[in-house]
Amino acid sequence: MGAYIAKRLAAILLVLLAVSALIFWITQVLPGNVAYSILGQFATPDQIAAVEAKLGLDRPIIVQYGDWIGGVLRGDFGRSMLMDRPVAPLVLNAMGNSIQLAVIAMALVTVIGIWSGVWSALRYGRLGDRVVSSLNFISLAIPEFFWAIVSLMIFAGLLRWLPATGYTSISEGVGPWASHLVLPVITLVAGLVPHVSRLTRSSMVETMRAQYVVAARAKGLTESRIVWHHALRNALLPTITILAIDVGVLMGGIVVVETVFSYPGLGRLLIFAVEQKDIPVIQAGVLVITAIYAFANLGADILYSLLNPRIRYHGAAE
Amino acid sequence: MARLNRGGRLPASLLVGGGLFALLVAVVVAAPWVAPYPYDEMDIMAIKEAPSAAHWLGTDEFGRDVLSRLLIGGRTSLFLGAAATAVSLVIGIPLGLLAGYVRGFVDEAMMRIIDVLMSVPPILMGLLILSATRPSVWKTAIAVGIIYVPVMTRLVRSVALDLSREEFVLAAQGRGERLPWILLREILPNAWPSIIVEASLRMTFAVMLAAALSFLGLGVQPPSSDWGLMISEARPFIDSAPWIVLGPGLALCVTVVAINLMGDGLRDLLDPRMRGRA
Repeated sequence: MGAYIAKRLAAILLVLLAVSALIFWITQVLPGNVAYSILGQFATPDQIAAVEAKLGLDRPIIVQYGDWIGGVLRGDFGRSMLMDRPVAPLVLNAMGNSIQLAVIAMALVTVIGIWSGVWSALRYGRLGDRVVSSLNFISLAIPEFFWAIVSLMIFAGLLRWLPATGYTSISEGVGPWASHLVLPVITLVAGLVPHVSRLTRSSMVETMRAQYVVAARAKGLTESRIVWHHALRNALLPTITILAIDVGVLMGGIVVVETVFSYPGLGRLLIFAVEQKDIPVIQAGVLVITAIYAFANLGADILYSLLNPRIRYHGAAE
Repeated sequence: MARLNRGGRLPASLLVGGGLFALLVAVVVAAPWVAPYPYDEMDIMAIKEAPSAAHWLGTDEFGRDVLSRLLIGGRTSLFLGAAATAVSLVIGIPLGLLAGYVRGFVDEAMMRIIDVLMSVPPILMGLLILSATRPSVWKTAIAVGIIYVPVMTRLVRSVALDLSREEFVLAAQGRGERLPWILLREILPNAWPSIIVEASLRMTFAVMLAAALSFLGLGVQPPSSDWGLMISEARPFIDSAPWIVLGPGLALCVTVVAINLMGDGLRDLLDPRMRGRA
């Protein structure tokens, strides 16, 4: 197991290194380059050359990349061009806010998704199953940004139950903190639950027909013990995979949701940086989000191998 | 192909979804002729009017007819979905066929590159590509298409990998057929069912991703419009004139439902092994 994790960790670091090169290349080389976006469209070639020399942009791209990635490895993501501050604390602060959203949303997606999947699998083909399946089908068709706006319309506009936008720290009270999280979290959860629910349902339906479930029934175990201890353990394997994929979807959703609800997280920071062409912030933001996604996948793989004794990774059968 | 027409009955979801989708396409293609008003005609006497007989879906903050704008915006949204899917097919099919059939180093190298590309979540990839250039409709289509090339390549590769062990491919090898012939005349025709099913799934993702990028201000730019941009522009008025945002939002949902139903139906029809999978 230890060897497997070390191997995967090395692979992730390689992928992240490649992603960092990709990010750097796209943001630095494609048209609409840094100096041009700082000076605006009326810049003279002389001015552009002067700015490029000042920022070191006239050096070969590989040297610039080495400079940047060397800094990143030491935790230095450069300076924000617009706010003239170091990028790292800016990104770190925003990431803290985003992680609150992401963790709560992911926990709810896991619980609601698995529970509703099992619930409808046990009612396979009956009314309850059809209701859950239809709800899943409908909410799959609703884009996140539209969910966000409709929930704003209803809960902040029409009913005035919740604040429309913004964020308050938990140190200023749990109530205001939670009230700002409700709508963004609901939006994120609504988009992701169907993935988990549908997959859990179909794998649970299959599992409940398996030999060992029949055997467990014959042994006289209670139905709830069979469902929650025996069948679910195996039915959950595909669910874990989709949960890892959903972390990636969640990271995209966070960009949309934070923008709609003016939530000061990584997603909104990124959109702001893109609007202002603040390239160091764009580079850091995309890299950090990609890293979170990569490590979520590693976590899922480890969980998978722990739950599935049939898979033993490379001599880890000790 | 014999199993396709077994019983000659088409799945209901394919008929309903395909019918709805065909209707949507017909309406937006005919938009300039069927729209009740010119989409950019402002009427300062009818600003933010609720739906009525004159304006079925109401008017926006400039007194423009929401239904007419919806139809024109739908052209862009559906075009983006279709064009992006086409881009991912045009690049993904040859790459996938090659990787799956040739295997070895080519396959290994391509799969590692794909691992890297797929480790960046789609919206962020779109943000990255579009932030580097001045956005436009066709650039959005290409960006979304490129984002889905890795998924498409992987799917085609896995199908090609299975097919390359089939007897008709071995026979073609034995006859001394050349590589392009084997890929295009032996493997591709048999890979189509899986590719079509995947393409329909990709199209829903493409329509939604393109709309999301436009919503975020990264995709379609004014004065052009698509449903994502319409929703974004209507945000200040969600309390005073909710119909401006509901029109394009619901249109997007209906489109996605139609394509999803069509995709489910196609899967049942073309790919019986996949039936019942989520």
